[in-house]
Parts: sequence; C-alpha cells; structure tokens
Amino acid sequence: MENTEDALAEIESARLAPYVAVADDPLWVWPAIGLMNFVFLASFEIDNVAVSIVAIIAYFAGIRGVSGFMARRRGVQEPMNPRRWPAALRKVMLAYAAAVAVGVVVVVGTFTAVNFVAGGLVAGVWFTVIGTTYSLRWRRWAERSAPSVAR
Amino acid sequence: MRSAGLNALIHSPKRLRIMAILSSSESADFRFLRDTLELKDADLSKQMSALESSGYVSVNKTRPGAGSVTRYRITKPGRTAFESHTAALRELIDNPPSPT
Repeated sequence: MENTEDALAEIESARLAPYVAVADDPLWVWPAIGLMNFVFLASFEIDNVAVSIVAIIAYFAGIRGVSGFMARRRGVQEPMNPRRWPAALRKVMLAYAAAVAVGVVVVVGTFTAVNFVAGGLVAGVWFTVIGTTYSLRWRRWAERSAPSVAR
Repeated sequence: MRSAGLNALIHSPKRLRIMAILSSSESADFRFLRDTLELKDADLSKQMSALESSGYVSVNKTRPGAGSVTRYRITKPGRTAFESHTAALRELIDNPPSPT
C-alpha cells in the first residue's frame, strides 16, 4: 500500500511541475512589456500614419518576442484552460484578468481625456505593477504549495 | 496488475511522472522533462518512445538541426489511460484488497 501512496504522491508532485516552471519566469518581462505599452501608445501622439504602422508592427513583434522567449525558457506550457489549473492559481489569474480589464478602461479614459503620452504612461506603469504582482503571487504559491517539485 | 484500471505501461515510476506532467500541461519539451525528472537523454528517449508507440503521447519537432525542439503532448487515449490508472491507484488505497 505504501508503494501505491508513494505513486500517488509522485503524481501529485509531478503535476505541479509545469506551474512551478511558470513561477520561475523572470520579473524583468513586466517592465519590458510596460515600456512597450508606453512607447506604443505614446507614438500615436505624433499623429503620423507611418509612425503608427511602425509602432504597431514593433509592438506586436516585441510581445511575440517576449512570449517566445518565455516559452523557450520554460520548456512547458501550462494548460490553456484555467479550469484545469490548481484553484489557488485560478484565483490569481482571475484577479489579474480583472486588473487588466480595469487597466484598459483607465488607459482608454486617460488618452481620451488627456493625450496618448499620458495614456501610455498609465498603461506602462499599470501593466508593470499588475504583471509583477501576478508573478510574485504565483511564486508565493509555488513556494508554499510545491516546494518538493524538482527544478 | 491487480486492478482492472491499472496500466502496466504507465505504472513504471518514470513513465508515471512523465504522464503526470503531460496531463497537467498543454505541451512539454524534451529538455523540461529531462531536467525536471532528472533523467539521462537516452533514458528519457526510451520512455518517450514507449509512450509514443502506445499512442499515449504525440511528438512534434519544431525544426531540424541544432536548434531543434522536441515537444510532447498527451493524447486523448493517453489521458484516459492515465486517469484510469490514477483512479485505480486511489481505489487501491480506499479499498485495499483483503489478504487471502
């Protein structure tokens, strides 16, 4: 029976490994994304179609570059469906999604009421802060829930 | 195997952990599995070949050459077999067979 219990413990531990890999993500990606958000939105203040086209291409290339780097670094992709995630991480993701939604409203409000530079500044700071918070909460979960997972 | 749900192929500790990781991820690459499970390349290759030939995992190589990434996914039959196996393990703990 001990072997059976050991096997189940091994399964539970191995199941957490993909999430622990995500917790190892470097924190610098969030300021990098925040900076890209700022440059992207602020570029619209120049009011030049060519600049906007370059900004759009550069922004999406940048986001794709960061995502690709993270995927290669992790070597594993967590399930696309958060319903398959551990419950605690689902809560972290829901809080992040809510903060993103609020951020989008605040950013749109800012660049509509003030200008694109101010909107970019809010977007840069907001997404840096919520992204970093998201990663730190994920890390705390990993330290608490999965200390035995080998990495 | 004593119980109907237990699967001899998955029951090996290495393959059991591989299936557990793949069951809780969209995909995992060779390097991640090797480093997480602390296996040698040849050993992991052998385990993955066994799982692949039984149709429990699918393999995808991103590009040929030095930068090649080998990525594995659990298949539907693989997930079903793994879930049956873990359910059978739980059943063994909850209702241990009476000594004869």
